[in-house]
Amino acid sequence: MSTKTSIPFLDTESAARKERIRQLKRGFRTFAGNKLSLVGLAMILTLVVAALLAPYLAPFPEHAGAGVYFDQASEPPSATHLMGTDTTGRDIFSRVLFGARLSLLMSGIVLSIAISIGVTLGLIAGYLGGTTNTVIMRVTDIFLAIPPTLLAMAVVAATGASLFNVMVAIAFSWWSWYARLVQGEVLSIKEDEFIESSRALGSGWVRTTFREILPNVVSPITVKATLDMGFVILVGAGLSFLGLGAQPPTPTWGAMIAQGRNYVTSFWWIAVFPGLAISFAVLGFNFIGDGLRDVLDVEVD
Amino acid sequence: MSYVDYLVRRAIHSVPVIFGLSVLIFLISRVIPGDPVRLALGPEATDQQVAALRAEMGLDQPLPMQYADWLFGVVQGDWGMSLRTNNNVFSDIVARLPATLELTVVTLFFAVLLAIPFGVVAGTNKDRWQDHLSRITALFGVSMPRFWVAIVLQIVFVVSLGLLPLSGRLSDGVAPPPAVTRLYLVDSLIAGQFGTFVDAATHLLLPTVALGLATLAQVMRLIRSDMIDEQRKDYVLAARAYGLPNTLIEYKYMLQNAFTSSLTVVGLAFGFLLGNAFLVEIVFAWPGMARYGVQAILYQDFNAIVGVTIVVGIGFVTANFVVDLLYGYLDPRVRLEEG
Amino acid sequence: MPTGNIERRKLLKLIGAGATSVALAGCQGAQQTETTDGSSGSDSTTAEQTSDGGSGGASNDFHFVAGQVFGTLDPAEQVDYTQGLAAQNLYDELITVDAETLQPTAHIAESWDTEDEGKTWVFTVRDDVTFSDGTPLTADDVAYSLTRMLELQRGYSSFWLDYLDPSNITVRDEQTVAFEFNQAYGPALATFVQFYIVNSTVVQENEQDGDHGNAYLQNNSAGSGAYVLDNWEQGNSIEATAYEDYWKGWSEDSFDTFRSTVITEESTIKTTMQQGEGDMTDQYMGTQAYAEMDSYANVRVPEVPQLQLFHFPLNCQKAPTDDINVRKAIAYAFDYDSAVNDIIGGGGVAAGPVPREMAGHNDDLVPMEQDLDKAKEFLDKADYSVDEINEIGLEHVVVAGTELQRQMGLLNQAGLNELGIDLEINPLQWARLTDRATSAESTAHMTNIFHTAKMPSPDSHTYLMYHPSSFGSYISQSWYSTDEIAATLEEARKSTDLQSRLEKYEEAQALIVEGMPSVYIANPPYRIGINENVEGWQYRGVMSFDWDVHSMTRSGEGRAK
Repeated sequence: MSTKTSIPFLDTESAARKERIRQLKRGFRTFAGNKLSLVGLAMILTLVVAALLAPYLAPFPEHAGAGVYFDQASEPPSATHLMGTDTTGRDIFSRVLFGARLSLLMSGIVLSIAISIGVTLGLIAGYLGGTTNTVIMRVTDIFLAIPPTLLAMAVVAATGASLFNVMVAIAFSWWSWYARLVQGEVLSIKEDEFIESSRALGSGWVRTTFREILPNVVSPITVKATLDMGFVILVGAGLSFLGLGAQPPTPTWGAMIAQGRNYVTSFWWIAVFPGLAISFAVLGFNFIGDGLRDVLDVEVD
Repeated sequence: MSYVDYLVRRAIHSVPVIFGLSVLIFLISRVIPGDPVRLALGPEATDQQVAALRAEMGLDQPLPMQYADWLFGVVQGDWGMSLRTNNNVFSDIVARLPATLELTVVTLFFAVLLAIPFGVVAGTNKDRWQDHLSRITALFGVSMPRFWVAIVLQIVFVVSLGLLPLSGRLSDGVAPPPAVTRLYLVDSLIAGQFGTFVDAATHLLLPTVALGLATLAQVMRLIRSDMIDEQRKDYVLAARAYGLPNTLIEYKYMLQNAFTSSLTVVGLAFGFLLGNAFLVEIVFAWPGMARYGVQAILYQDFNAIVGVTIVVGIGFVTANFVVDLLYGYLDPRVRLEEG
Repeated sequence: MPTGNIERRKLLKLIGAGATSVALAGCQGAQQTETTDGSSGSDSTTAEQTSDGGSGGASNDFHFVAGQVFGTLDPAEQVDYTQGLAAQNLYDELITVDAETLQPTAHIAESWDTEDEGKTWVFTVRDDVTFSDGTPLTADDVAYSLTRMLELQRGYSSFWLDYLDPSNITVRDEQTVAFEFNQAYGPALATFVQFYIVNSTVVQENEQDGDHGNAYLQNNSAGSGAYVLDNWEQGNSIEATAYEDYWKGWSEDSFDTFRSTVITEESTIKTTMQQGEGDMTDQYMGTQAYAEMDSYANVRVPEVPQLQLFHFPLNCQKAPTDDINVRKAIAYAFDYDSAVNDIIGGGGVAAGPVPREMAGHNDDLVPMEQDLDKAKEFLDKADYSVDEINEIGLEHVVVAGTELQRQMGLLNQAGLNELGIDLEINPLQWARLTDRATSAESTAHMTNIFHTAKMPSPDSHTYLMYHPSSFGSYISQSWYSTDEIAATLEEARKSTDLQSRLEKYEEAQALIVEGMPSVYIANPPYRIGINENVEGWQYRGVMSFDWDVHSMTRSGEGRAK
């Protein structure tokens, strides 16, 4: 391969890079101009800080662990207990803070697994094509044909209730959308000139994948993953609401709501505040995702 | 490609999906820990009884044989026995499906009905306050857990205000109307039992709101973006140039076109409603299939888990299929592209 | 309920507009086919049946709100409280419990005698009892019903399986039946409170594949009880109508129908009671729920001492609770005061396995108290270090969904936490819990168990828990016995004299407690929610016996709903 032939290719590549950087800069300005996104960002930063500093911020950090405090059971919100106490006397505010850790951690891990599986399968399917593609995409269709909540519930029922199993179950139910997206992108990009040329120039498919295909799917994946951070929290909360998640005394938001549900007639605060926390987290991610969608100009359902 | 060809192609495409789904769920259900047979027979059962029932249920066979048996049964309406209710799972589901359908269909109807005006107003006022308001409302709508919304509604409207019933499908002591469709709203009207109709409607109100908020938000945003797309099109510009009234343009021509593309999401929304009905039915003790499904999961009632999952899967696939059909019918380009 | 009224009420139901979901008697054939068609759950069956009418408002309906599903309606299989509730109202037991003395007393058997040094029990059956199809109940039905239980080997059949062979049941004449046990069997009379009699003709006619009519009895009742089953929506409700010719007769204010719906959500149960739609609840909700119901104007919550033990059996065949010092450490780490006062809200700390109110309780036994220093001492003596215990992972199973169960787990967790032991709380559905109780390996280290007297005898809280032949049931999850304990319990059963029998049981209790096979927590008081306008309720000592709807009435205002 002579130097002459490779120069135009490098030029194209650097041009594309410059263009991408320009886009990013423009995107950042758009994002910064979008008030909702900034609000969302602030919300999530608050949440992350709360999660990280939970042991220091919580007025009663010991209430997140094993312990019962019946002398202060079922107290309404007050200056001491901002969100009141539950029927075993534990400070709901403290438990909500620790719950933020679990929710963010769970959502992050689930999406890391789901995106890894989805992207890998999508790349393989799209790149290899043929029978491999058909098989992988048919399996993807199957997973797309069932609501993730239901599939995750069935998986947890089979594997037993625990936080770890919940994460595995949701990840198992969540990868299909990413596989479909990446496979579609690969198919359309495969036909593009510069991939053709890079292939003609003999670069390996691994290299092509990482240098040409992945960058093109980063935007939609980023947007979708941001929105999904919130939705995975919702699904996880649903599962722990049913008692399929982490076991007591682990302060998951869903389990706290489930406990409060028995007391809607007497102690409303037990169910209400953890639910507000969930809404807050999901809303934050949705605000950011919505902003990113405009910035990166991608369509994600 | 003719429309009929398109139909057939789409139908054929759905079959392996449902088949694959059944294999997937069947496998999941068979790794459930514990001995389902002993669970069914209770602690007093002898080993012989356990062995006998296991043989009767075919659980002593290898997995592929069990699956073949099960599939053969499913086709004939024998979906296996529920370990919790001791009934055929198929009949259990048939008995509970109308309650779930009533809830989801009513929810979908109102969600779409309200989403249209909101979506149009937001779309025709892009980037003005109406649009921002609709966006924020929609994001709130999809961010709140439905089961929690359900509980909050109970606290406010049942416990505090005492306006509506806490749970169930009818008040205690109110008999269901004569079964025709088994949808109480419809059946009570057919029978002319207006008292029952009102009772059923008041029971439906809170579950519908809890279930529908997110769907309303999704459909509203979709109609908005379709309206924005439509606005840029030539015929709208031309119509405006001819001085046709804006309302007419918006609701008659633009909405008609926008709605075509929104159909997909309505179909998907129906599938998602089915999927999301689970927790809402639990909170409102709604005697539907979704509640049955959750109980099956909690009790590790594996035949029932498989049954409910398959029904929801089929509902999901069918909804998509119907949407595709309508879509292909309304917009012939879709067929051509697929061909 | 005067018999003359029944026809009029039926007529009212037929012509009345308005509503009730109670199906009428006489539709049983149709119902059976429909139920096998499978119309449980939703209200479709009853919809068809009641389409031609509803209650005119004159019917006096009893509505029991149950927090647990009805697993079976076959009285030979009944073991838990909802199954007991169904059996108690649809069938009659041979011997019943006297509400005053809590001792066995005459019911279907009007008198009895023992022969052959207490080996043979001879019962004389009343001659005025008829089944719901009008045929008289005879000694043949009694013999058939007990044979059926021994052959099905479910429910409480274990009371007799080891001592009675079906061939030793003899009918001496139409009203006399004799059971010849293979040894003297002291508690026999007490055990017969869990023996319900079925209509032998009807059940035999409906046998399928040698199932002893088990399938038939799931959708039909064939007893002499006060109520006749109309409909069982599995997992949701049972409905039954009064049997006009019930041998104990009816009063003007008796209940015409008996219905029980399954509502598992405590908040829904509470609102149902508050709105006057429910007449009675079970006793297994959180303490807070009863306190709240007590504050409703139309609900009363009686509180009486009861023959019940709440405890955590410790699995003595599984590491690390196979070490007595670990068991003692666990028992001393538990906060009994808080359990009784904060969680149960009444009653007292248990003293050994037998409830303190029960005749035959060993009064020398003293209740446990929390003592963390002692707990640490025992832990130091144990073969396992704290690290080893945590490595194995101590598991505490609680029944999923109820507050009281969850809080007990948390309290135990808090106590063990003081010793540095991590406790894993594992909420399980009841069916799964009983499944795990079938073997020592699968039984958890400790499990929340309410053990209500199954018969008016301390045998219920000793033999059924600590005799090796009882192992494998949820009641015996300690998997603990010694030769001495087993021998003493066997002697107790053989003893025909009540006083010497009770002494044996007391001896056994002392032996059992030495091994610390359980954390004996409390003898909780009995509490249920009752609609203020329901009269005649009485505590009867044995599980589900106080839910005999026939003994209750409602007059005046409360009737028409």
